[in-house]
Amino acid sequence: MDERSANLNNPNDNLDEGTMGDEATDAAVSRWGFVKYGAIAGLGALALAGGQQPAHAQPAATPEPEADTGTEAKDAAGTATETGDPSGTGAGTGTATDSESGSGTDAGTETEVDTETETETEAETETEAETETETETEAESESESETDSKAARESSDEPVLDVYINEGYLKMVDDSLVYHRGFGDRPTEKNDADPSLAIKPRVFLKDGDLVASRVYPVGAPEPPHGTPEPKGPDSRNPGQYLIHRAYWGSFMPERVIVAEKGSTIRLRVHNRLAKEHELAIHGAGDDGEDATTGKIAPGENVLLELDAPDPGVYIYSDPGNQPVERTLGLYGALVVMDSSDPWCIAPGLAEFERQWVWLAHAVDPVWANIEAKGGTVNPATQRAVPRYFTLNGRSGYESMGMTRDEELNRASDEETTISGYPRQFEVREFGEGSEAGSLRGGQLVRMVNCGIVFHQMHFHGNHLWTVRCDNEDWKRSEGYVDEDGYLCFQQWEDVIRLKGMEVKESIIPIKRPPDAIDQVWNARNSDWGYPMHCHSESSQTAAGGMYPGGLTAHWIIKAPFKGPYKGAGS
Amino acid sequence: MIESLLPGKLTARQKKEAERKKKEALARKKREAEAKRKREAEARKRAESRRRHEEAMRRAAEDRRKREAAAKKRREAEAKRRREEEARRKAAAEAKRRREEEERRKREEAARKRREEAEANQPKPPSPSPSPVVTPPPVVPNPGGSTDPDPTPTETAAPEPTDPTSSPDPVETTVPDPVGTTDPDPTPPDTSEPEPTDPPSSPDPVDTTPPDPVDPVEPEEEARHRFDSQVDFSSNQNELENPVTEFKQTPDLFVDLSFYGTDLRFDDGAEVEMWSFETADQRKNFPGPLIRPKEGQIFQAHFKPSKGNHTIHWHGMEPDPRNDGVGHTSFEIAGEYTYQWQPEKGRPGDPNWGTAGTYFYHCHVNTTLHVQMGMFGPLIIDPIVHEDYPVSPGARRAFVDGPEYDIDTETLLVPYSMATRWHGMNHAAGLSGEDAGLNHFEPNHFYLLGGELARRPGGKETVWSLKSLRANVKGGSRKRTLLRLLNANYLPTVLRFQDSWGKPVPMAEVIAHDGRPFRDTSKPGEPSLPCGEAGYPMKTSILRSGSAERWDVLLDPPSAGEYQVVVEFRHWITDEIVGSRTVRLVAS
Repeated sequence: MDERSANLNNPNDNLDEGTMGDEATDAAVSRWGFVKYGAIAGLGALALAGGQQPAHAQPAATPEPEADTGTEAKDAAGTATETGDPSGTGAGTGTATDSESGSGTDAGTETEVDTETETETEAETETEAETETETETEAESESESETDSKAARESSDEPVLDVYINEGYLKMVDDSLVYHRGFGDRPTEKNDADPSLAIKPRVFLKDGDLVASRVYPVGAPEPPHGTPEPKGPDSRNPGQYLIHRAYWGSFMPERVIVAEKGSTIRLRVHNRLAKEHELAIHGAGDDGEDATTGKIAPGENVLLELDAPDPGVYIYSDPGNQPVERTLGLYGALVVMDSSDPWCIAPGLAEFERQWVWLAHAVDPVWANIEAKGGTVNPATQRAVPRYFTLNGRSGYESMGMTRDEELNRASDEETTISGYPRQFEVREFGEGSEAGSLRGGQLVRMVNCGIVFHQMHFHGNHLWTVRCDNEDWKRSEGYVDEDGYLCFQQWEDVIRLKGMEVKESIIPIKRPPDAIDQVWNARNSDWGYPMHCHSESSQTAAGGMYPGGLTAHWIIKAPFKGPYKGAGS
Repeated sequence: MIESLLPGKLTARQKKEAERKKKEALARKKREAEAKRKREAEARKRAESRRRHEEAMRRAAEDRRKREAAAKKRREAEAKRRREEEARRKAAAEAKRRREEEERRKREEAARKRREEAEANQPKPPSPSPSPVVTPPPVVPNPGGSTDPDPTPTETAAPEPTDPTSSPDPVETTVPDPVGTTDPDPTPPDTSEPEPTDPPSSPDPVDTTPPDPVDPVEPEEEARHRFDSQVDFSSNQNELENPVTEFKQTPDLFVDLSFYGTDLRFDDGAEVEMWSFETADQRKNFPGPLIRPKEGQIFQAHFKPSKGNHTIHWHGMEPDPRNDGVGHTSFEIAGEYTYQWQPEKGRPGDPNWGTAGTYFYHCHVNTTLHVQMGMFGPLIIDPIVHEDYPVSPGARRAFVDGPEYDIDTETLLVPYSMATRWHGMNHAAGLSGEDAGLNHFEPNHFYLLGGELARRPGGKETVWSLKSLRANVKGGSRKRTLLRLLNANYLPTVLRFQDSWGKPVPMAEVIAHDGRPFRDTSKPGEPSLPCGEAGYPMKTSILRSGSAERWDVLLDPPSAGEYQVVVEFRHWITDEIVGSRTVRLVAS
């Protein structure tokens, strides 16, 4: 049941159809599945354009659940979801999206979403009085958001992305709720069942527009379930495939803002919390300084405006009380692309079939609890002991897309689970393959450690070719070991070091696993799935155990392609 | 009248008034009583309604609880049913695999017989002596197959690559290797057509096994399973009793590994419960025995775990998922299994091929705990010997066209830190959702394991500790010393080379990482030389590495004398030094 994700991938379609089946999104070429909005577009489009729910928030139980009203409905909806009744969920989805597109962010929408996704209401203890206050605050927030965006609209003709520093509870992989702060794209309250703690992917286009699109390049064909299909068989290398060059789009995970070179990034950051906060894009300013809003007082907002820096990946975070605010969830990444060649890191640098952005993070519920109660963590005396380790906001079996929630699985497939068809890979040249329009290269994996622990990203099945570290291009000749002992050189690795706040970029070849014997490879008729996991093994746990429940993913060499081949002419 | 008898004189008016007052008082009383009654009644009513409401709530809550309990029960039953179905499906798939494997073997056997008969009937051509390695397999027994009475191949049956320099590997001599080809787009050996390029088929096109059109296996469903929760996933990893080895070949190298658990004494006096791997000639030693195949060899490892499920993941080797040793992408072994893979051969100057280098193997079940418990051992892949890159006596190459090194002083260095709190847990600790504290690794012992590979002590129940290093000084006939760093630690480490006074000495030339050499790949279409040969050896006095990384380092001490090798163990968040070990390095 991927109605919602389908809708959100193709918001335009959503206007005439309440629900959509898989086949719609399976169509390789999307119908420009995005909404453009600039000064004239209203909140409706904004809300409409939202991507998927954060994985952890999906089946979330409300932190402070609703009053009795509606529990029956909830239960009914919950049961429907559980038993997989498509009509039940479908109806719920329809309502939710309808009201979203109609009125933008309001309490009603939230309730609907809540009702629809909630499968189990854990406790029904809330009093009526609390409900009233809740409704009031939500009403307030609604009006506040409208005024804000009106102000934004009036003040400038240029599109601005409103970023709200919110707080709320997110469900971890073991179903426990942990307090988080986050950069959201709509105002939500602490007790919101679906708090906005992550920006749905947005693209600042070179021509000045701001677009809500999970796919980049905007309008490029969406790889079905995240998997780019091959261009055709590779006649010179039987069993392998020719890969489309400059063809497939890439799904971006939540918290990613894409900016094209030449665009101006405008973020209006609203601090909705009780303490000062800040949004800094690290290394994105002039001379590699941080581009930052500076401290934003509670209730205030600041407009951060900057020209897109050089192509690359830049972490944004709240650098306050280092590293506490970031660890509480105030993080994300800016990906800068050159629209003249959006299938390269930058023109002249590594070319790829599609790209994957992986945001790693570590969650410490003890820190979170202190801050939730209004305290301030002293990271020097209260040492961090992370208990959950996420990749694109998901851990363990959720990150590997092995849940019974197909929507969540799909999000993992599209954003995290690297997949593709085997090809003859040439590491010295990622460009033109043996046939025009085909690629010799692999897929680009951009590993971004927004967390605090030292990760060691280990890939089974293929070594990766690392090309970049912290936006510094590693050379193909004359490598060196720097003064801290880090070797800087393009190289093969099966374990990729990723310290806190580090960005590594590697090409995964997606080639025949070299050490499988011929007979086994030749008889292959199913997907070959391999794990990717961090080898700093403590990060493989959730809540102190549950291996493999931490920072892990799958990657897949697809079974022989059954066709038909698409896009051969383009 | 009575009234007249009353004291005082009351006028009629007064009387009336009194009467009225009395009445009023009475009425008031009545009203008040009424009101009170009403209030009370209302209160009662309210109380009643509250009670009813509460009762309703309670009932609702009860209902909800019941419903939820029922739903939970349903879910659990459903989950159980799904699991059972899954188990049945898996068992059926495995049985199918086994049947297919049997049939394949029978066919191959028949083909072999036919061929032998045909050969016997033919006048024999003067054949070159070394018979091809991949002869049609003389029915390799499947240790898992209960019907199979044949003995398992023993380690002695396999050619040990103990002295690869003197005994040319039959694989590379019989198979024309497309090495040094100028073709910028070399055809990989996985051609699905029975062409002579297919290495195993080269001696005789008849015995071509690969494309198996006879029994096209049914396309399996997507290799994805679904779980109800993380605990469900963690506690229900795919477990198989005796999985079958697909397309089992005659091995060039065979090892028989089993699990052990025992208390071991470390060089700082600590006595700790350890789990690891053992073979017949390496009993209860830590780390596990060195496994050392050569590129191109068919490698097999029979593994029969005990004390719960285990697997072996050949870290850095890249076989098919069934031979990769990970539960959730293939299976955990409950009974026994024979792993099989073939390390890819290197090609001089080609960065796309070759596996020679340093690796390790480890258990991939509840890995956080099992690897810390010691379930790992070193794995080294030696390169093929290429005719353009001959090898001097007493030396080996690090990779096919890599630099030569001195076999006698080749050293393994394994940083390993230990948290004794973790030793003594159940092998499934944490898998059922209990907080085993495995997210919090606080080591209290820091070790450097390993030593000179040519001199690993025999004996039983010993920890192989690195006490000191030897390194050759440049000049003379001896080649340089190769240090193989295998980071079996969960923390980042810093490796330093310094003189006795602590001054850094850049004597380490880093030549390979994770089993792949550093090459100059800047010129497409031209050979990619190893960095040293390309003119910029990457020399350093300090090298950072993290968990599971391997680094091959050639030592180049500037002069004879004593040096120090320091390994710092760093905190995984703060990067503070949490432990450190220093060993002597003697250059001569």
